Amino acid sequence: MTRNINAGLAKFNIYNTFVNQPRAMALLLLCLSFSSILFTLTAPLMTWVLVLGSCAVMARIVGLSSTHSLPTLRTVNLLAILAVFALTWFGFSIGLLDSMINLLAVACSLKVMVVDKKRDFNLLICTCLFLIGCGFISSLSVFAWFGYTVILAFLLISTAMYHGAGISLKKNIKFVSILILQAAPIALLFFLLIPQLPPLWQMPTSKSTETGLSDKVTPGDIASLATSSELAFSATFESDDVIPAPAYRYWRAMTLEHFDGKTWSISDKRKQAEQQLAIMNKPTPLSALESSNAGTVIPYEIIVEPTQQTWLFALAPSTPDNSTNSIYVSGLFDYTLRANTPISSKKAFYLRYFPNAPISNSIGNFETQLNLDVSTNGNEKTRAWGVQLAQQYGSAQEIVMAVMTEFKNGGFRYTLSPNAMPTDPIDQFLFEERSGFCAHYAGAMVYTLRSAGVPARMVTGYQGGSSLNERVLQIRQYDAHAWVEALIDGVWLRYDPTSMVAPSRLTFGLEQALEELGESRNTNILDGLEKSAFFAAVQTWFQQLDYSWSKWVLGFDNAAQTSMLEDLLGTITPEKMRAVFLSALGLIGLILAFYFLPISKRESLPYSYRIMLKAVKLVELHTGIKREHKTLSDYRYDVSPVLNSEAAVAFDQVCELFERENYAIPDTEKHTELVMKEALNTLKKAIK
Amino acid sequence: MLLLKLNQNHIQSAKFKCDTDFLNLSDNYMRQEIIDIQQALSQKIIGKNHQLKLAITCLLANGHLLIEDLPGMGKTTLSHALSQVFGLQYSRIQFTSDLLPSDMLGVNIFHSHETDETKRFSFRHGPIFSQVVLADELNRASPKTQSSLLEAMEERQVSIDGVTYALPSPFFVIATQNPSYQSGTYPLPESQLDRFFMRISLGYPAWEAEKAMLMQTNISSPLPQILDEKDLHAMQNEVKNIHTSDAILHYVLRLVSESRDNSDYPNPLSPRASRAILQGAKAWAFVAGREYATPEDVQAVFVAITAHRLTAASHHLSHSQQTSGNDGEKLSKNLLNSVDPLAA
Repeated sequence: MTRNINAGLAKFNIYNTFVNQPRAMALLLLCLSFSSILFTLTAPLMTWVLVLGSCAVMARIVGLSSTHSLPTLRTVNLLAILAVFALTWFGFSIGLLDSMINLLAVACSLKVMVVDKKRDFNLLICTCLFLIGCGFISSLSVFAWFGYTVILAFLLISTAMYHGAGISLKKNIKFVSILILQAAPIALLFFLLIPQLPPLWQMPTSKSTETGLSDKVTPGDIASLATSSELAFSATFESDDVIPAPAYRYWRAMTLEHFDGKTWSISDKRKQAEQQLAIMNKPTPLSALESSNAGTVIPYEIIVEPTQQTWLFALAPSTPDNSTNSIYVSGLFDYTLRANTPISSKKAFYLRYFPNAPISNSIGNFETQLNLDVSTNGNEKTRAWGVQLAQQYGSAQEIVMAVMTEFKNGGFRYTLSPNAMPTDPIDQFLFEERSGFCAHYAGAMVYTLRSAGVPARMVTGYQGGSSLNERVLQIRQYDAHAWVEALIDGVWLRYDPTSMVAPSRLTFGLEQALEELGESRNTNILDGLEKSAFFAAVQTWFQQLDYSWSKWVLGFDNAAQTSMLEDLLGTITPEKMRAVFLSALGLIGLILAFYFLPISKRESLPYSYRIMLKAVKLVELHTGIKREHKTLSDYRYDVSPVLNSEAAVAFDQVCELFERENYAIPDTEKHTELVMKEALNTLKKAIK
Repeated sequence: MLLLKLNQNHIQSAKFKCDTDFLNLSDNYMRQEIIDIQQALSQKIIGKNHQLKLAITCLLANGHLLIEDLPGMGKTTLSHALSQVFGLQYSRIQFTSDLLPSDMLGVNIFHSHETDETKRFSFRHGPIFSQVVLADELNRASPKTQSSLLEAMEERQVSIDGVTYALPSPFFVIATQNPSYQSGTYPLPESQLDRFFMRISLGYPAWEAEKAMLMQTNISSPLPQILDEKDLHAMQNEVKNIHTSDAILHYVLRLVSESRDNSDYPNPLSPRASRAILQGAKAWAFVAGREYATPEDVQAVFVAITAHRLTAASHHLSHSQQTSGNDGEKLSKNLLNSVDPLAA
């Protein structure tokens, strides 16, 4: 019996804690929101920070029912000191940006345990908002936006509960949703019409983010890449008939012309040459191409995921359409494109593809020499084979074909997990292992060609891409590829040795190729699921949604804004712009007015009330004695000793007139309100 | 055990201390007749001006008065003095557990000693047929007797054997009740408490007042009659005509609805209570010599009118709750403080 009663009491306590104490409920909501923010920030946050955060949330939730179980201030301070040491220790390895995010999360976790004043609560809410901002650094997808909006709504509800103590949860939710609904049209208007300003500060690049490609290729790198199915970029064409066939979708990123025996990298000599040419203000071949207007032009748009790098991916040769790009893109002499600042967030670029234009030898002899340079560091067998090929065949064309044929018929195998080849990698690959992936084939071919006296270079980028819909291609990290360009008769021609070994890699993509070769890109329990039509449809739908989000919301930059305004208004003149901004502000003002006007109407009191309240407020300010719920005569009794005699008389008069006006038998002849106004004026003068 | 009793005594004395915080500013202005009456009454009940004024207000508002006090505090003296001052007929019923309704209301008596033609029933009026009735220790009587008194109070008439007898016109019941934790009591149910317009407790007199009382020599001399029945009727009519503006009605409504919306109040105020508050405010305004009621009037009578209605039924409360002051008076004051009299 006693136990029953005790259990009942315990239940009652919990009920009391959460329902009858709105602050506890608000804190619970805040804790939940905070933990979901932590959950979304698992990438930048260190494990111990996540553990600390979840422990803090646990401690707070347990401490809601009794304050005794919360850690003392001393414990929290000790934790803070330890956390500072840990952060400084790990900070060097994770970079400035990530350590700042970690710092915020640690501060938040510690504060969660010591919320006892209003100020603490407000501080915590603000920090959580900042953490949400940090979340957008790593992900700008529509799902992130949706998730963070929900968390934001929770934070607002908990704020409303905390401050509006005693109001029921239902009413609070209603209140917050009304607030959000009211804010939404204003936000939309601001988004559409206020000029899209460039960021005020540059985001420090994060060390841990690595891109699909790097400017160095040591065969082995690209294998790890191929396992990632993350989106690299998506390309949008104007119609489906201008999209190149799968085998021709080579997205060029950079040319690797320097080889030290193991690693391919961008040549320092080329970098110097580019700089000198830029100083000399020599027109790049791409700008020449632009002005020549040779052949068909296919405009397209790419939306690049953040890479923290400057290189861009394009069908070669493509020229940037810098009038609409938000970041200036320059073309280099090897026909690759570079953005002027690193791409730190999802960005759209507008490009024009010239399918019929050749990639010419733009710097003449310098480029030829650069690409004939053969590293004498090991790989003797290959060099010997190259010399032999040069003796055997007369033209460069024939040499290239001979190498390609060798790959086709020499018993080579395509695999993503080749054996390690630490010494003489090309010799080992060509004459012993005979199995590898694109970088092995491209590297070996370029080396052989150079040994045979044919200028050649390795090109890296992406190959392929899957259609999201008839106009959009999505290129993922596993589409990363390396191929060969050989200089024949002054023109760089593209050769892809991988196509000799695994032809389906080009036409049907990596997955198909691996399947045929009996390998899988990654072993995933969802593989079976991915095959089902329903799952595929859902996946496509989500990809489509995310694509539309990036295109229409994230891609809405100054250029898009201008074009939208032009569509609406015709050509833009300063007068028109002014009119648009004024009307936008007016519209926003109108929306605000609609929001506030009904309230002021509701609050409109009888005249005598307003004068009385003004007088009371005046006296409250002057004397510092609050009326609270006292009646006027009680309040008069309280304040009259403090007021000077003139003010006291005037205040008495206001009170008496108010009483007569509101409680006595109505008397139409007397103009009480005017007399009240006069008395109020006297009070104002007397009180100063 | 002894210690506990002592402690209890202490608490009781704290409860019935002279309550000066009832005093309101509007105590300062009064009608001349009322001042005269109050002065006359205060010869008998010394130092209890506010309670006297409340009692007068209750009489003017044509309501019944409940006095909750320890024995010997002057309940009887007060009711007797009131009847003397207003020139009203007075009777006293001492309630005991074996008191029957007929003992109070009266009985039909068969006159058997008369001759056959004149043998008949005649009604012998009980002590309730009186203008001022003191129902002493009401909660010692059985529920049956209690309810017959309360019925008579509400209806202002008595029905016996199918014949209805009207009670005299100013009909004013002053009931006293021992604190409910005393033994041998039948607590009044909430429905019956609601019928009492006002509850006051006189409490111990202040030091000076008690000294003055002890120095009195002519204790038993009756008070002079100041007003008569007609004057009382006229004054009661005037009270009815006191002006109450919308602002006052709204204030009363806000107070009442706060007691209903807020879960702090176990017994929300009934419409009868809101009517009583307004009536009390009117009477208080009349006493203060004003033609209209103000929020101060409402506040002055509010605690006396609502405290006994807001109290949770005594059997719901534990002993400690009853004595720790977690009672109607506190609830009533809380309610008064939580509502702004000046909100539009």
